[in-house]
Amino acid sequence: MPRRKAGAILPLEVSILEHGLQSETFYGFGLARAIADSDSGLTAHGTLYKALSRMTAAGLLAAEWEAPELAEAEGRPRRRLYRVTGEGQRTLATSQVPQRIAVSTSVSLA
Amino acid sequence: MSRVIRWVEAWARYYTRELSPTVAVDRRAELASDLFEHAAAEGTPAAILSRAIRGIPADLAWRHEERRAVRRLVPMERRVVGGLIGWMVGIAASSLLAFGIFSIAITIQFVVRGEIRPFSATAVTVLCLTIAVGCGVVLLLRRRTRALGALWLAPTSLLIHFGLSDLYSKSQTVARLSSEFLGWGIMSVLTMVAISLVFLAAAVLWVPARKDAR
Repeated sequence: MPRRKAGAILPLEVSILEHGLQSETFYGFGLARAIADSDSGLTAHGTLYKALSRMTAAGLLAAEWEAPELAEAEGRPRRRLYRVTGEGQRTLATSQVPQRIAVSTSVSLA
Repeated sequence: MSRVIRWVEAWARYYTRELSPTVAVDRRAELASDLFEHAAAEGTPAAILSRAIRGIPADLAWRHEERRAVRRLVPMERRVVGGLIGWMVGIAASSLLAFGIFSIAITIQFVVRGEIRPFSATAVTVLCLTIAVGCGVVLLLRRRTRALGALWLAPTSLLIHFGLSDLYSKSQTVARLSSEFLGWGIMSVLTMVAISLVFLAAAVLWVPARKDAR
């Protein structure tokens, strides 16, 4: 498998950052539902949590476990809450620049 | 539904084994939360199973990366010493096993030809020690049991003494070396001690690694 270029992010990671910016914090299953593909359904566990783990390690996301009292009050296991960091926002903005250039080029050619 | 969830959780326990405890516990807890939320959102067992199965390659890739990260935390000197000790243990254990099998094969030849009685005390000792070495080699093959294997193998270097004693009457080469080469006795004792020390050093080195892996 070819190694990824430094700073390059995958479409799934772009989706995670885009959806992550829509709320203050998000968690695994909620995110899987938000970015669900109509063809293949919810993102696979391994794919989703590997991406979240990599993005956290890269500093694009910050993760923390929610307070146990909240989870207990709602009768469910604790959620691991993520939020997009400043680095994540910058990376997303950088990844969208080539797309914007491509769109504006195709518009001007038309 | 609960059977599918148990299966997914068992799979998570399997692929998070021997990782850093924090990383493993976090992943399992996060997955448990996901499974609960998915079931509560009326996800079907088939949908949950499909997510788990489709994610298997990513789970394994993630495990591989995490294990590499754990290995990188081990200092370079310790990795080099660990690798060297591993090789020495492997060579010593396989040489002992080969020597034991060779001694047994020679004894069987003599028994078949009717030149010696089948169950001499030395031959039986060689057989028992060779079996013990074989068991030690099997223990060495698994990371979890390799420290025990190395400890188990330490006293089996006695096989050299009993094997040579057994071969003395059956092999002209051994008989000639032991009678003509003055340092033969000391050398065989030193070899036994050295091999035992290698096994003991490996057992000491590998015990903490075994604890870390849990």
